[in-house]
Amino acid sequence: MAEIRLEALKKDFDEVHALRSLDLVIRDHEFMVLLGPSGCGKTTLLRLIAGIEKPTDGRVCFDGEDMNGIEPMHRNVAMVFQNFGLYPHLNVFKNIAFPLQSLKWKPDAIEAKVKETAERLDITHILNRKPRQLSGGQKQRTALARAMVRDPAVFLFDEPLSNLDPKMRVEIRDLIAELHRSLKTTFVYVTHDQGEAMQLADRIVVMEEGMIRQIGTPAEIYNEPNSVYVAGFVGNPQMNFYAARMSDRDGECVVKFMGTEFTVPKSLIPEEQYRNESGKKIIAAVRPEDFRLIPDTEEAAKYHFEAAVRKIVTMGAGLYTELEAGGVVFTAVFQNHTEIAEGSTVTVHLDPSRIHLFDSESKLSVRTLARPEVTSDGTL
Amino acid sequence: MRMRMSIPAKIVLYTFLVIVVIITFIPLFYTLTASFKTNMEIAGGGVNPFPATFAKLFTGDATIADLFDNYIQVFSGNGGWVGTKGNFFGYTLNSTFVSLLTVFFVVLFTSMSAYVFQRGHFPGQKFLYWLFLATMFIGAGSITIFPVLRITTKVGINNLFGLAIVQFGTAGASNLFLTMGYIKTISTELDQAARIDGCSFFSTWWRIILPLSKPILGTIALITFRGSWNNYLLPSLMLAKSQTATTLVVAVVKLQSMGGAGASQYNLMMAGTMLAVMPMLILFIAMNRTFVEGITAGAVKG
Amino acid sequence: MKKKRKLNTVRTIQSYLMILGSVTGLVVFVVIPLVWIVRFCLFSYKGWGSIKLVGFENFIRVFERSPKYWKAVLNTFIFAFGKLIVEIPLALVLAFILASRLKGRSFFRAVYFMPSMVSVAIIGVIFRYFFTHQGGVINEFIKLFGGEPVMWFSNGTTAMIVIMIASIWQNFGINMLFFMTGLQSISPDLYEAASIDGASNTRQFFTITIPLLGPVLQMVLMNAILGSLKVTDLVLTLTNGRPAGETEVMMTYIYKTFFGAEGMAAQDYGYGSALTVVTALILGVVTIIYLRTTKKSGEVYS
Repeated sequence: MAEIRLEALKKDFDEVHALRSLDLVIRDHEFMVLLGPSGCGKTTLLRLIAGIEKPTDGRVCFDGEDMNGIEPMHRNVAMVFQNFGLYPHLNVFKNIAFPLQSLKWKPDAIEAKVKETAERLDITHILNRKPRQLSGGQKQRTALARAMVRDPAVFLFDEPLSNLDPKMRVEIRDLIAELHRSLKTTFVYVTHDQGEAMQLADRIVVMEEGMIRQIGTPAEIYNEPNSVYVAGFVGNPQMNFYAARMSDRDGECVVKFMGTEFTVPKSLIPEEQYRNESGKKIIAAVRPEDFRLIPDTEEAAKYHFEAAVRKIVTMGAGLYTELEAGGVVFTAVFQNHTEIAEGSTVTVHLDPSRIHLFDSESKLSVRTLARPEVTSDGTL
Repeated sequence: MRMRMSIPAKIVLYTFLVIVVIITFIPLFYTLTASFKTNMEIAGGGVNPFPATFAKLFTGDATIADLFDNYIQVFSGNGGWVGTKGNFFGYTLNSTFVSLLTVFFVVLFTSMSAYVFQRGHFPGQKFLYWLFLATMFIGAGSITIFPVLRITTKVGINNLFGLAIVQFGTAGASNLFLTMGYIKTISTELDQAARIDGCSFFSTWWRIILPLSKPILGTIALITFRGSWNNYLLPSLMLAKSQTATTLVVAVVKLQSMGGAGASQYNLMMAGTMLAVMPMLILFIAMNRTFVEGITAGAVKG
Repeated sequence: MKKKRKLNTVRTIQSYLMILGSVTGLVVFVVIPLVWIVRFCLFSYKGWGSIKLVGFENFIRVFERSPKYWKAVLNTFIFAFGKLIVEIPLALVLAFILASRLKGRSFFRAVYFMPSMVSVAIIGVIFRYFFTHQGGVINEFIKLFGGEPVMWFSNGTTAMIVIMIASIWQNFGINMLFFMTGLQSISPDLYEAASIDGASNTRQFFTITIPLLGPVLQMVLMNAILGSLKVTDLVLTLTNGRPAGETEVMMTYIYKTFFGAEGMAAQDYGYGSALTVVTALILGVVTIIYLRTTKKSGEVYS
């Protein structure tokens, strides 16, 4: 149970700026996910919180206390690693008991606690085995047990699911979610898989090249991405981006792309941005799931255009369809069993309120330009 | 690599190999059999390797004790200078003691240092690393033996214990680099996990890295033991003044050069030689693989 | 929560303590002796009395008034050349044979490796016994086949031959092993491709094996050359330079300079150090020349 506060945190490795002066508050009991591609600094950030890496500048505070110079053990954090990090020469029992031995617990107490934790994670039957005799899922459960056994204030996860096969991934992911619910501890979780982030997080921190791009709940990140980067990172299949033109028409914002004009509601874009503009370049983005063949809202009914169906892939969750309109190729996802054939032409509907607009140069959401976020720092 | 060979070619090849085997065995074989002969027999010559006593065993004219007479003499000598019969039991103990102690020092300090160089971060690290590297090329062992002797004499450690220390000190940095290479294969994730689980830099080594280094340390232990057991020059100089504290190998060589009035005591010398050689051969047969791996691992590093 | 400020300091201190053993061993028994030699080669000191700075006088003495030393140098090179001419091809051929899937190769490999388990000094003892004029096994065999027994040790040439034989016997197994490791690293795919292209075994040997073995060959040969030039124990126990310095080698001469021997008192330590430095330089020059001339075979993969 701890609130983690990062202030002006910077980390350099010789010439490389792994983290550029960032600020972040992770709330007590929160499940916070650090999301981003390889090299964005998320693992470095995790390690700074853990204490196995020292910051070049700035501070890490737990409940207001500066953790500088304090060893991980004394920060009361536990960590679960990508490659499990199990000690190969010790069996499962001894692996789990390891941190308790460091704390100089008595053997009886250790045995009791280890057994209790093992039961919790359903691994009592393999306590005698060595790591090389375990399956991926069993290894990760052991790693979780070892982390839990000390009742830490903060749990850290470094891409714990990457080395598991898909089925095991779901199993352990659900286990982690359940653990968070029952343990009520602060979880900080690093991943590059946006699906995982969306599933598990209370809040997500999207990172790029050592900086925080956006902080928000999964819904916020998904529905109101503050930049092209965040919009493109989250969502599967990826968001469609269009080079569009924006004009002021009688006080209304009209955006044209795919050969079609859409009048965008005022809630989406502050007036100053489009006033008196004519044909100004802008980036429009639409999520594949927001296109409709059958309109579901009044606005969607009003706006439609013709598109040629180029390719259809049945992906289980839906029909991933590649379409072309106005010389632009884009992706849409339609419900399974929709009657649609490759090579045909269909009428596609789009509710303009589902369009995201981004400034052409800064690549930031038009809303961000007007209203910079409070808790994040380091926007380009 | 495979070779498809005709039968006659194979026969030639095998014959060649067997000849080499015989040539390899002959010195050891004759030494072994000579160790059971009397001095007269040895000096008398003849190609027959088998001691007369051996045959007499079957005719009842001799006992097993007679056969092993040389060994008995050599073992139960009254101690003191090798020149009488020497106390080979004592010498064997000495060799064992020194070798074990050397192995202890080498394994302990090498594994610690390799860990520090591989995983550590401290000022002067690079310099020390290069120092070890440089001495590996320059240090020739017998080239600096005299100054080493001066040091040991001045410090006063010309005894079995000191011998082990010096053998450790002059062992060279190759063990270090070998171990470092091995530690490299241990994932740093384990170090991180250990640190989070409450290990200091030292206890990470003690509880995690050291146990995991057992394979390479085992190899190093074997090779070091052999090197110490077989060592001649250093012990012969360091232990020259002592009458009882000599190692086995040195004692055997002394037997050769002493010899009393004229004729060398060949029979005792052979017995002593076998005593010095047997342990290594037995060790080798038992740990064949490890030795081979160890020798080649160090060599073909690039 | 216990706070430990400046935790890095604790880790650094632990690092230093952990390498203390190895570093001390290195400094005391390798670095300091080297420094001693380099220092004393410019001085004159007999172990008692004063230490005088004499500049390069010792070196002048080495180059102008040390015929015995240079004879030893010559002997050393003759020895190295003579023994390697036999040993290396032998090791290579055996390695090649054993690298194929012959039955019983582990047995042969183990047997050939056995001599290297025996102490070098003891090998000297064994072979001295073997080649003894009166009753030595070799002479007895010669007598058996009707020949005249040879006085192996009374003649410089034959004595040197004995030393070479002993050294070959000791070392061929190890070098064979090195070559085998090198051979194993050549991908079998290459041989398969060559076979498909119709190349005979001999052709494959010369176009694939030899070139790709280049780097290994270079390293092993350099190792073998330097090791042969540094031979000490073997000569000390086999002939000790007899007859009359005919089998003296660089290392044994230096040894005698420092420690004295029958018929030769210990010399000035400064002179001995100068000898050491010159010897080290000789070894260095040999290394450089060797590396230069074999540069091509070492760069197979460039």
